[in-house]
Amino acid sequence: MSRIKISPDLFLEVCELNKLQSFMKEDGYLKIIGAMVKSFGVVRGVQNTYLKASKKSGSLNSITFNPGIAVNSKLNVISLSDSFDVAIPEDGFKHWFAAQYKTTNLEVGSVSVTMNGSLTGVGTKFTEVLRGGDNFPNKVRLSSSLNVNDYEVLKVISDTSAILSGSFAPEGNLGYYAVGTFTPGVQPINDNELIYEYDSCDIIELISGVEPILSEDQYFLAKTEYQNGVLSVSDLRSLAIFDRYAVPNSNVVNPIVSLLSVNLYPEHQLSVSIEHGYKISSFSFFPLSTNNTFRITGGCNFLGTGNIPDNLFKGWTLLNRSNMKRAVITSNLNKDLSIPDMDDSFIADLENDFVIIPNFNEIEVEVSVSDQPCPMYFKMNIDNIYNRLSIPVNYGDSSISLRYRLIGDYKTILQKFCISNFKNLIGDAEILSDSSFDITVNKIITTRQYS
Amino acid sequence: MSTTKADDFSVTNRSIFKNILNDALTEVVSSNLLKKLYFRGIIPRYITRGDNRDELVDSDYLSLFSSIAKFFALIIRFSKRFENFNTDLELMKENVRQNNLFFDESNITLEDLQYLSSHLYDEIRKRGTSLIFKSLGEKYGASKIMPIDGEFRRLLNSKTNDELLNSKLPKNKMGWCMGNSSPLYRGVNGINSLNKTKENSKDFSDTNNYFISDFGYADIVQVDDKMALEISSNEGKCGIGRTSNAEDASEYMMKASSSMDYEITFSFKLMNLCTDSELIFGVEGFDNLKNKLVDAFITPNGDAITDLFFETSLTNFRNDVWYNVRGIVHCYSSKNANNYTNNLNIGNNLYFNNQFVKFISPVIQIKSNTGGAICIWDYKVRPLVFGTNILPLKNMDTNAKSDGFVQSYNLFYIYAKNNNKGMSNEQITFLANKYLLPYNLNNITIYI
Repeated sequence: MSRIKISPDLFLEVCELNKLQSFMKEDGYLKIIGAMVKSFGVVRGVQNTYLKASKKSGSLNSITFNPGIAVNSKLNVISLSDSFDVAIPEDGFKHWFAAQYKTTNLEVGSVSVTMNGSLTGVGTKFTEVLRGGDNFPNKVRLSSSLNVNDYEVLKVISDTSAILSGSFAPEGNLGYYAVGTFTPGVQPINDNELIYEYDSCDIIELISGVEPILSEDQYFLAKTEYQNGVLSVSDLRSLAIFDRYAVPNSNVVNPIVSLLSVNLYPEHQLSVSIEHGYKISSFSFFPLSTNNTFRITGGCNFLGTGNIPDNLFKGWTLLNRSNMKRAVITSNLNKDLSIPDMDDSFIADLENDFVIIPNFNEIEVEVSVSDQPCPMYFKMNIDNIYNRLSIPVNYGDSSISLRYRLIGDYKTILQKFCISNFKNLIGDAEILSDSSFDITVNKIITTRQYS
Repeated sequence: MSTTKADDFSVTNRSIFKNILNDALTEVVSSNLLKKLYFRGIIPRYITRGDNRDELVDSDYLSLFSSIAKFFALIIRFSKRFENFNTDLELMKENVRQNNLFFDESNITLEDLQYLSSHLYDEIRKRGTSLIFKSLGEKYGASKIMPIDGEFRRLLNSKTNDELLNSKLPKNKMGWCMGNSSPLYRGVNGINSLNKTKENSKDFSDTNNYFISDFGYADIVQVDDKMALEISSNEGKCGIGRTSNAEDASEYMMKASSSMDYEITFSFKLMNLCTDSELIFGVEGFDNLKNKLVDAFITPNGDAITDLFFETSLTNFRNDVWYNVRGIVHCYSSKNANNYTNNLNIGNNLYFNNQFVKFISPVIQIKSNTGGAICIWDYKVRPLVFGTNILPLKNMDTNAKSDGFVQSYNLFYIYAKNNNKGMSNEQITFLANKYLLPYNLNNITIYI
């Protein structure tokens, strides 16, 4: 960890102390925690109610956001300490709400002040932020247009009662700020005043027919629209959850999950062969100083030897099944894979069995047979790109539907197999369209030979 | 316009004989000797000379023996100088200098040198003590009086009216001590040894230590476990400081330098509120002769010449709390400022408006014709900061330091004006550190 070398005779002043704080924060725990966090956004909490938007009770056109916290990529805590209400006009547009980080110098609670300086608080913590008497008293600033000076604290009586010096216009329901104690006579610059800076939350409202593009470190919370005159609220927090892979990835498609063939075995067992990876039969490897290029010279997949769309394998894993070493593919240009973390040790001396698989742990396949009430599920290791499923079927005509989902740190939604050729029951090539195919299983009539 | 004679650079004029070479006494002695050598009786007759004492005839004789006479006259004069060297300023300077006592070479009297010469060890004994800062005539100990300026004063050629403050910082006023000091804070943290009033305790102990006008009532009373000065009046103003120019408060005036910032602080509590009660807080400025300077102070925005911090009605103040008041006098030539209210958000702070202010006298008075009364407590006058000024001067210079030293001990602050034209500030600091101050002090001298 970065450090300041403190030693006798070293002069410690503003720069050094700020650096010390920075070393502990930016170069310290923020860096460590930041490296461990998977994603940034709303913290789920125990009951997942943080920053949740809902229709405001008793109101037809307002929503309210729950208090809660989110964390942005700089590990700033976006903290909403009190419920936040927003009125939604019936203007025919969708209203999108997102949270972003901001700071505030406003102290907790609200205060009222009397003419002779009695400061009374509700929910305040005067003893923690104010200091009075002859012990280097600090000053208070009120969120008021009538009492606009900085007032020296004469006495702090309790968390909710203090006495300020000066004469005041009596006011209530004010916020207050702790200005700080500075060397007498000095005129501190505005930025140096209001010494306590708190994390806060800025809820921004965007009006757009389509999902707006957010800036960095802004996180969707909700979307509202009127449907037949009734306000509806959609919870969008799941789009960005702190320290969890975000749900948008649930739409991740593995475009090479395909059906290879179907066969029928005795006792009307339908055998379904599928693949979910790209088999590499031959390759060349070009290690460079800043990157490594792994060139596919022979592949085996329904893609065949054809071109591979650019960046199809971005984020996928190259696995050598012979030594089970794996590395992440950062991009691909046709059949040239860019793999920075790969070295020669990946390539075995005698035999290599390279496959490209999505960056998940398992694949689950759902098989629905038209005349059976419940689908069947098969879960397989992602490392084995070829799998065979055995499905009992009835005699007669049936329609078989296939869907899959990928399972890792999160799950994708169930998706259809890609459109590709497969070998049907009679050994002909057939196109799998809409992820389903039909079969006919005839009853086998045995003819007994009597002698 | 001064001129330089060629003789000024002659060998003799650069020698130890320069002061006696051509003075009248040497000439008289030389003349007397020549007469004895010229008239008969001393020099044998075979050294011939004219019968009629003719200067023209005896010119060779006279030339030779007048030189000899001058030479002997110089020897006599020089011998007599050492016979009574304590009356010779130069020799006394040399004597004291060689005994390693410090003084301002350009401004020392023979009497001072004679004292120093006869009290060499006594003066050295004073080193490392507060006596080096005392001025001539100042009392110390039980009943002793300083016979001469302290050695640090002599080194600085510090005038009687020059500001000279020193403080060995208490441990709790250094670095970071909760409730006492903070590393980046540049104020003096209420250090008593920098206080200029006659009492260093927060409590008042003797009204005779303050100039209190005769009108009204002023006495020390106990209020809230504090010994406070209660002032009340039913016939005008009453309190600390003068109520009119006719009053003589010269004994109570405090030395001040217009080249540095000061704070005047006190606490007060309302004892008896009358509708006409007003609190007057100000400061008067005086010159070297303690004559009042009417233009001594000016408001920070330069709008008004005044010696008032504020004069305010007491009706808006509470009677259940002590108010802490701080009036700041910023140094001459501080840059104008618009935000200049004091800590109570009333009135204003002040700038020195006259460089010749040498003394100040704070004014804290109640004004009432119906018996209004307040109590005053913890009344102090101190430098505002460690340094000379907290606000930038018109040339944008600021000079204020924090005392946020980590692991430093025995910090010693000196506020001083260097009048010694023969020594730079650095030389003074070097000599003070080496000879005058205890070795276990880290000295910080702020030259005003």
